[in-house]
Amino acid sequence: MVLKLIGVFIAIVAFSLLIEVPKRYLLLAGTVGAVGGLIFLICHDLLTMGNVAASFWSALVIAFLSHTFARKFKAPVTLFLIAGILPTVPGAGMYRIVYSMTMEEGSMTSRYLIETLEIAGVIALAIFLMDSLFRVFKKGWRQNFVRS
Amino acid sequence: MGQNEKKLDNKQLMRTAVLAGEIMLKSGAETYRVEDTMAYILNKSGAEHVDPVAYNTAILVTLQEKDQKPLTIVRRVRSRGINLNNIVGVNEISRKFCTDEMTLDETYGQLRQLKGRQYSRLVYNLGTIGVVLGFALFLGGKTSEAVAALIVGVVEALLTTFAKKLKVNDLFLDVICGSSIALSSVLLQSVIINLNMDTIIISAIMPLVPGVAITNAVRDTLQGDTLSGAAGILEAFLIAAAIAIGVGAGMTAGRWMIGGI
Repeated sequence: MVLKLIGVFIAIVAFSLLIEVPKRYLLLAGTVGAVGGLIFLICHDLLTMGNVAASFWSALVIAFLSHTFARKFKAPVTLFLIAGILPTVPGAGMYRIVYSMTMEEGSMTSRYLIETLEIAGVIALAIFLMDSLFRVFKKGWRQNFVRS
Repeated sequence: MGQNEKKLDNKQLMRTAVLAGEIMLKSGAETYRVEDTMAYILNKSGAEHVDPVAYNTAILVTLQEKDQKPLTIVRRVRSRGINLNNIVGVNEISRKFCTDEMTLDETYGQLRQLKGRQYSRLVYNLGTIGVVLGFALFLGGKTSEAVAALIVGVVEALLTTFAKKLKVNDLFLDVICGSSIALSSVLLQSVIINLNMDTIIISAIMPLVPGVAITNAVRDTLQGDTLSGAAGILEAFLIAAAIAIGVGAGMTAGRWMIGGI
């Protein structure tokens, strides 16, 4: 578990380098990702939820943290959201679709295709929920210049 | 004369706003953010009508003073990448301009200087390797997986560097990267005993997955920018398909090679 969390932290900080996150936000972005990974592991391994439900809760917490950090450190939300959301992005689903395709297992392909689309939809839903919630509490643009 | 000066000022303001918008769009900002930033800059003119419009591929700005001809700039934006540092930079500069901490000319000058990359090629490559290694650990990889992830990560980093030098099309790069990841993973599996190939391939495609496109598309659609949102979703599907084609081809080729040996 600890090793997994260290892994996801390294992965997110490294990914932040790829998308040119400014140096002072690198560790914060990594923290968002690591917390998201932790929530995913708790939901998936401890509470034995499915991939889709675990992705939803993880994405929800990531979006919440991103909005909070964006307001606290006066930076655009995207900064934390794009990097932080990475552990939930269904890379595994994409791979399994292709794998079952090359193995010519049609039923598995459609199963993984649906699951991957579900995860993508659930991530969208989580971001949508948090964006809408935070918009309700948004103050004037002087505090929060350029809709973060 | 006074009126003349004001008109000049408006032109420079338009130029500054479009430059800010162009940098943001090229750096992969959501279109609503681009529009908002341009609107805040243009509103400093106090003009009657200010209409900035941004799509994934173009910027249109119109500014009209009362009883005067409107000023319009159209800017086609071709290359789109991801550079969050630029987005943060434009955000800070335009914030300073709007709170009168900076003059218009200073703002324009600062925006002009914003176009570089923050990290060197080496850091970028280490980042690629880091993502692959980190995800291998996250997905429950052990020592053998970590070693394999390191090797595949190096292959991926080298390929990306090489392709960037040749200015290869991004989608084609995804196909090439996907296939070489899959190929090297299959080959590594035949060398390292008990290697979980799935973990390696999934970790290795993580730097390529269209996370940015998906996130931006969702947030654009949510803001009512359905056009940019739809374009973003299409972009995400294209990238995903390119990776899938690559990985599929690589795995098939790998199995064929091993079978051949």
